[in-house]
Amino acid sequence: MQSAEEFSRRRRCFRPSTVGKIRTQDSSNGARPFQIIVLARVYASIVFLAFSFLTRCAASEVADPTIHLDATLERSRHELVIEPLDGSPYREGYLTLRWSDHPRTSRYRVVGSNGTIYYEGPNAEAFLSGLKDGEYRLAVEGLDSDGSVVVRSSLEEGLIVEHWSSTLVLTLLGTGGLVVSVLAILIVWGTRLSSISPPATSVALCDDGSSTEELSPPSTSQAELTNADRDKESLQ
Amino acid sequence: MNPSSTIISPATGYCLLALFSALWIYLGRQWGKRAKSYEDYAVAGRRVGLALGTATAVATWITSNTTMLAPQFALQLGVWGALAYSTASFGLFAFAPMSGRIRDLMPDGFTAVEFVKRRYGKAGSVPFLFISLFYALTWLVSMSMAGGKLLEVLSGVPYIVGMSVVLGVCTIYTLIGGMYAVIGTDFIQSLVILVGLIVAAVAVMLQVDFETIHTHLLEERPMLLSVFFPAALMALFNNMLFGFGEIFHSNVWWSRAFAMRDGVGPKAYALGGLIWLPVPIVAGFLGLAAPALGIGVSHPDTVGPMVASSLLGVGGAVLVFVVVFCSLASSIDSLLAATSDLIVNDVFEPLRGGNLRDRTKRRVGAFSIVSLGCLAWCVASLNIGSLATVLFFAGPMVGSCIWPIVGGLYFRRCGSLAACLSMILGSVTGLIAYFAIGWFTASLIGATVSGIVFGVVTWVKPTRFDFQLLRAQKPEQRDLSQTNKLTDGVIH
Repeated sequence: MQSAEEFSRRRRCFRPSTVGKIRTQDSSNGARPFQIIVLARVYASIVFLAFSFLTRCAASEVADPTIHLDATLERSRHELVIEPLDGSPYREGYLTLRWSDHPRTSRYRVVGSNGTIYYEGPNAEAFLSGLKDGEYRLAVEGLDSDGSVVVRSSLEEGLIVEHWSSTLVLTLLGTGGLVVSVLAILIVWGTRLSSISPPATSVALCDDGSSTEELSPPSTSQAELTNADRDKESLQ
Repeated sequence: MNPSSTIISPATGYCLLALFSALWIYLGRQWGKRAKSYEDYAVAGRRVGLALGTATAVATWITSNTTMLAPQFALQLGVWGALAYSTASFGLFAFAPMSGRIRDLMPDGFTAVEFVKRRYGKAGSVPFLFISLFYALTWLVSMSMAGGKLLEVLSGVPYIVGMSVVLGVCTIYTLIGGMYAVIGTDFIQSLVILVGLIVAAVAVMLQVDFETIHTHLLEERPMLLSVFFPAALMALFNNMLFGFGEIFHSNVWWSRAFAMRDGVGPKAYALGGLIWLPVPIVAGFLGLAAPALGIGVSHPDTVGPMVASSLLGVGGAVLVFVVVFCSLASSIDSLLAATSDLIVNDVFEPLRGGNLRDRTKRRVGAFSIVSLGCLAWCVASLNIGSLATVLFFAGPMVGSCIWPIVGGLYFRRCGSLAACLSMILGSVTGLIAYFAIGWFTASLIGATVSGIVFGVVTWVKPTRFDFQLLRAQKPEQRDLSQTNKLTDGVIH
């Protein structure tokens, strides 16, 4: 059990006092239980956050009517039931449409009112994308192994696609262009500045971390030897 | 998934899994024999050359997200989507000069958080460490999920088995060999990925009629070809800034900058970016080809493998399997190694109040790698959310780290208050945009708000930071590294 004073002293140790100063305290001072608790808390926090996020994702998926089929809507085992859409317009032009599985079908087909086939495949869900602005009347057809339609169901309400306004798009495009340009200028400018700045001198910190000490640069012969050695030892 | 509906049989899937698992573990063990000290284990002795440096940059950046999410982007957001994804290579170009600066400022550094802590103090390092760990875990989980999904789609191997094997194998060889194993296997993996992608792309192009694809898209999915596709245009700079944020803040890229020899980093990252640039466009083409080929897509994140394997048959499925397994492994191992460095140097060591012995660091590093693997497995086993949902949630957070990193590397006027506020406010605003508008605006808005806050606070409250302090080295560390270099000279 640590005393309050000991605990307080350790807390002071963990706090970096000044930028650039590094603590060099002896680590073997019996602080293991406290450190394990702190480490455990860090891990627990990460796990908690990750799980919270994923639970939220799961909750939103359950809440989203376009993602999971509500079992109560299954009126009959012999009927295709399309999961209802939430009625609000789809602004990205893509969505996933789901419907109940049907025992007598081997394939499904999603057909538009103008005869366009948006999906044909074995799964009871379809990813539709690239839709223009407008209202779409979609139907799902269940096909048997011969390709004959054995069951058909239509969306009760039309699917509305309404893309984001051009004002928002142009604002974000302009902002993005500006941000990237400023960033590129800063990197180029910074690189040029750093390349014309004087060569670095090595700095070391004393054990107490309170003062810096400039070291003399290595002699030419030492530097050459180090580089040659490094070249020789290089991984390639 | 019904095993009879998959392109290759589960038995073939298990054989391929076993074969590549054994290969990666063997290679990791062989490469890992070079690691004698913690510096070798964490940053490969800081002697990585241009070929290995370029290969590791390419392999790490070609993730499962490139091979699976790029086709999804193309199918969701059309031609602009594929182009938007390829702008992530600009992050590598921008990081190229920064890697040289990093190596120059911190020749003995290990992690990005270490830089932020020295540059901005605790105020800057706490949010940065949180973002780094959160992003690393999100990326790790999204790739583990991708592994499980891919194996299930292609071979019918159950999701949980595939995910566990991919994650387990990477954990084992990273544990054995550290950064040497990661960079060594990355080299081979990058070659396999690039050859596999070229073969798949050429084979697909020989079998598909471009005019048919164009006609089908125009009739069924016209917005995919539209020049003014609102969501896609909004995603363009968003994705670019997300890529910038990912690379600038992540220790995966910093640890490589520390691991490369002097002067190698800028060339390796620029070359890596050039090699990576066309990959999402090629992968995205697979997504656009799906409607014309009559392939019904239920899960957009698996459209790439589905198209390649249905066009090229069993051989194509095996090719896709190998390419994606390599891309998964090359990124998961990098993340495990780099995040373990973070935990050792920026969480455990400060908590112990000083320098740790080499052996203790290696032991803690190994423990961290195993813990991260277990944690990622727990979260990925839930299999919730699409790949994009999981990954892009971290977008605004990493986007708001861009300015503190660039400002901190080059300009002495930037202070800790500016860094801290910009990271927090940028992340919060970006997350609000994520829920209010959509994932395709979150990074852009996060980075913009972060930049404004950073600029204003720096202007109002400037500091005069001495960059020499970043070069500072603890006496024990200095002695240790010199001893290690001498020892290396004798052994190798």
